[in-house]
Amino acid sequence: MKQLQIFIAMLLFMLCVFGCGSTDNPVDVNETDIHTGILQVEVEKIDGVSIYLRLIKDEQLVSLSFSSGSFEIDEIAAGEYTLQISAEGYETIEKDVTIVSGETVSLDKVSLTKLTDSLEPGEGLQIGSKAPDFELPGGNGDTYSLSDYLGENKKVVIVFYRTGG
Amino acid sequence: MQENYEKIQAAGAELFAISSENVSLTKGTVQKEGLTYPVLADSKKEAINAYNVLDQTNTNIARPASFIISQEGIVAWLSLDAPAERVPTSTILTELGKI
Repeated sequence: MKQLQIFIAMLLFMLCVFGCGSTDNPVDVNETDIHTGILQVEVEKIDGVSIYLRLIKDEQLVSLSFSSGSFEIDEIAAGEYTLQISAEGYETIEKDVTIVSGETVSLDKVSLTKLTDSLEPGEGLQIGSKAPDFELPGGNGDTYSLSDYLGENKKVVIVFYRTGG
Repeated sequence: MQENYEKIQAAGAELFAISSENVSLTKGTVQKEGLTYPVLADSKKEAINAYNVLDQTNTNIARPASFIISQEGIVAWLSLDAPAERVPTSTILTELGKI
């Protein structure tokens, strides 16, 4: 009988130790959150202009979002990234960001600088010039050359962008 | 531009969008924005230099510019734009209709 009492006492003691241990555990996150973090960015709004946010790792696009200025990207794998913030007509900002597991990185009050109209008009090509041929890789994996797309009733519109899209 | 792509094709033209971004970034942009027209990666700036559209304030990128190449391979119309003043696609479509 005494042995049983000692046994129960030990059992209660152990329950307390392990039970208390688990409630005190500060790592109270679910499995999917363990290796990811959150990035919040607030960019000063520009009327009528979409702001693009690109998260780049090792020259690979990890995430692309656009909005009027508020961004929240979650479930980003922990690690180092280059953050690119751009808008047509504005200088592109590049920042290095480190995403830490279970934490939120916040960038507030980011403002983009308007580009001035100081560009000189391009020289060389004019209306009537022969269009230089080129061969370039496309984002879909195919290769495109200008000459392949010209011919009878086949014209080409070429639009140059400061960034992709 | 995506919403005008069909109109450009209906006017008998293909559309090439070119930037200096590398292929993998371009691939990401195409997939994430769901673009169906050819977006070309000119990371060596071959076309950008050939068309003389390098941005003088940031020589890593192109300035906004648009060209219409006729079926004979001749520059039929062009617009070299200030950074914040890209020519509207409606203007390109109007010009395309004249060629």
